[in-house]
Amino acid sequence: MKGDGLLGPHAATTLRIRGGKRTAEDGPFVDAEERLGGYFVIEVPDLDAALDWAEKSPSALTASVEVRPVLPPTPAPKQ
Amino acid sequence: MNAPTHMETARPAAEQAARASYGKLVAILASWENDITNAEEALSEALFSSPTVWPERGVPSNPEAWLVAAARNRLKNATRDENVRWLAEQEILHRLKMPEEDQPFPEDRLRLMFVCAHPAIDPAMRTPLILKTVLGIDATRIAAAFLVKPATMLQWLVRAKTRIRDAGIRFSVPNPAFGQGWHS
Repeated sequence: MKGDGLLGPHAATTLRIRGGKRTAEDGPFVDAEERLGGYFVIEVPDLDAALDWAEKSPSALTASVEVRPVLPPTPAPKQ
Repeated sequence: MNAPTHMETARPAAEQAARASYGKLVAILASWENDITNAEEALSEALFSSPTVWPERGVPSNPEAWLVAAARNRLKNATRDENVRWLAEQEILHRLKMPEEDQPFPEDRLRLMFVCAHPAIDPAMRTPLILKTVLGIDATRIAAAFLVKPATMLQWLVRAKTRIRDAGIRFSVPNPAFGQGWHS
């Protein structure tokens, strides 16, 4: 089974495609009509690469895709 | 007339370096760890220490290189506790990217500007971020220009810089193929 903590909403970016134009917005989706419909965990070097993947999701065309970093692993104990 | 002492030349040299190169140095330091806040703090500490060190040892031939080296050491110390392996990786990156003292600095300001103007950054924050990080303009002055309280602007800037680090915005000049999302 699987579980991941997410970084806070301050690190969230919401991507939408409307009329073939991609927009990225600072923050999580806020529209009260939107509900979490599913998630993917991907490993990419940075936000820009993550947004390129988010763009491929069909829901970007009609709803939105929120990109959130997974919490980094806890650092090793101090020596 | 006597030749100016170290004391007399150190302060103007430090101020000159701070004024002329702030964004350039922040850009270099920030690109190591993609962390503007840490880069600015380390640079401030280096600038703060220069009037103490330079009068004693003389103004370095390349003040910018001295400041980057001093700030880099501070960044290194700050991260030492975190993780030995992580630190080793960063150290290798530092050495790969660290300009030699007598070589001209790489120009990283453009990258920093693109980070500040990234589509995932609130459009209203892009200009204040660039003014602060690339040009080194004081948050109080930026606040005045944007008609908000200095404390508010400071808080916005801190948040935006934290976001850049946590959201993982790439420190690079976008290539034309990536152009999507940049047209706004």
